[in-house]
Amino acid sequence: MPRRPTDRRSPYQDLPAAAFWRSAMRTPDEETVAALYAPKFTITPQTPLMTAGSCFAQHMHRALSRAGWHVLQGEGMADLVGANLAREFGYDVYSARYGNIYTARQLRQLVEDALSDSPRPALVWERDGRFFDALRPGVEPDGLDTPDLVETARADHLAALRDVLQQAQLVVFTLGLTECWIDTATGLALPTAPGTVAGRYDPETVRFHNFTQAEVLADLRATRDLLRAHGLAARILLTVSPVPLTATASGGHVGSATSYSKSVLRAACGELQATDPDFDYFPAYEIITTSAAGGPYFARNGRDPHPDGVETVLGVFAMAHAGADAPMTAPANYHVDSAKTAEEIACEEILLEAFRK
Amino acid sequence: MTKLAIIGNSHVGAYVEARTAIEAAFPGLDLSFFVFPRHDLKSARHDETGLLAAVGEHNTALPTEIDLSAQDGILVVGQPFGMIGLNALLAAADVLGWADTGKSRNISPALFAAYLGNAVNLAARRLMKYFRDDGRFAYAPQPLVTDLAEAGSSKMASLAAHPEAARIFPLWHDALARVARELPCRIVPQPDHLRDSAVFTPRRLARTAALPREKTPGPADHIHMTPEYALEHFRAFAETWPELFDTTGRKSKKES
Repeated sequence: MPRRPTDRRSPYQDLPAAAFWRSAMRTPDEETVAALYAPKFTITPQTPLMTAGSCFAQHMHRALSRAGWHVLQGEGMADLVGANLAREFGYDVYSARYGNIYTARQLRQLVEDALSDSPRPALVWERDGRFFDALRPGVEPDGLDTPDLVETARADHLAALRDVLQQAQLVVFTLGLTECWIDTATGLALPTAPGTVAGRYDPETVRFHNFTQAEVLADLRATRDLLRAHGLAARILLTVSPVPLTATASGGHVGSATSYSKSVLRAACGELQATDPDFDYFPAYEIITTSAAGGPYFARNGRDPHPDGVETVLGVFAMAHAGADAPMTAPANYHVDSAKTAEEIACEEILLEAFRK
Repeated sequence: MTKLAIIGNSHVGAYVEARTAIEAAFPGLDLSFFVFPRHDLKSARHDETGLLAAVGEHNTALPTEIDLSAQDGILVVGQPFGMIGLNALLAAADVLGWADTGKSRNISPALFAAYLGNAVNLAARRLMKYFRDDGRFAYAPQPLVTDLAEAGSSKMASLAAHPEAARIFPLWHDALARVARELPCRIVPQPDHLRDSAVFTPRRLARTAALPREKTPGPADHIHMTPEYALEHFRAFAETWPELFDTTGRKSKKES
């Protein structure tokens, strides 16, 4: 066994416990968990936040809202119709009624339309004589009577979103997927394949696309540039959804496809965090999927995040921001029965499984 | 004697005024009355012995309590069945594809219908819970207003003045009928012959039409109805409860 010279120094020898697997991952403590997230931005409980993203972002929205953070709500309906019915119709799930936004391209499109004086016409899908907004098909479970009503509803939505963007100081955006379906005629990225919620699958009208890291980076930077071009101050806090893909259209194994998606998204977040002052990364992905904060935190189905994990995510966020003033944990009534998670957290992606032959 | 209580909000007044006519039509009835002081369930306490007593300030000229345990049946009248929330929703939002009333928000017809159904169902469940799921209770919705009622004079009057009232009220009637079918809850809707339409009660049945000139309130009351209306709605109630009323013989079963 070679002996180490006593006068040799290692670049690792003075690193904190969080830098070492054994101390940080096998036996994490408060210090190592706190070290997971060293925020670039100053956020207080009064900072106006906008939430958006894939299914997991719904957990973020609910946890932050219930814990008392200033989560903006541009299209709230729960006060008028009750929380359950509001959620069923896509209200109060995020800061506006845009439904799940799985890809960076979807977010870019949405912000483009919200800030444009002449947004693109609504992309309308039909099912059994009912009409749906293809860019948020889940928000009206039974669709609307006519395509014109879809257009009107979309215009209302974009106006509400514009107000939210104008107030937001921070956009908390959870990236979910790299795989997506593109409408051939318009080039628009869709939240789900036609034929799941509404519409009809036709290889002539949609094509599959799996975004690369370069594309994800370009879309996120373009979104930021749009905000700045309109004089809007919001910075973007990125997270990556820990929820694996339900299905892949890539032709490969869903496990490999999940690794690709999450790796691309995580790498894009890392690059932006390291190089761009307008972006930061919050490690919800690591908290849920690894042992870094006592996890992994998955429900018994191995896919949905466990409520304890969601609470830990909020706790780490709160610990890092605003010190003692921060709401540290979700209130006692925040408890998602893991058996009901898939029902409560509306997710078009789940429908892919339902459509499996 | 069959002991029967008529309780509720200000709509109890028409039944009090119809007392003689009701007792003449249904001999053997022993009627008593109670009015919630502030027209909501929280303004009285219904305890486990069946005593219903006014809470807080109340008009001492009115009965302050009633022993419901002594009653064979109880008719709770003037119930809004979701009208308050419905009014609040339509004060905040228009419905897509319906008349534009200048609201800054739109909701879909599907959400409106779902809300309406939920609101009526919830209201019925709330009443049933308050009265301890007791099968002796029956519930009558508040009467439709007349077409002379001023918007704002009541929640129902505001809805009746809505340009889409002809769509709203049939949905509400349907929701009431559905709840009556689905819940173990005896609901007595306003009979068809007491309606001018899905939205209005005929003007001749408005309280204001029956009052002598010196008693005419200002503004005129097109919200509450006459004793004639009360008697007819009571007849409809009696038809739903053959075990309690011998409607063919016009006598209560206990009497006969």
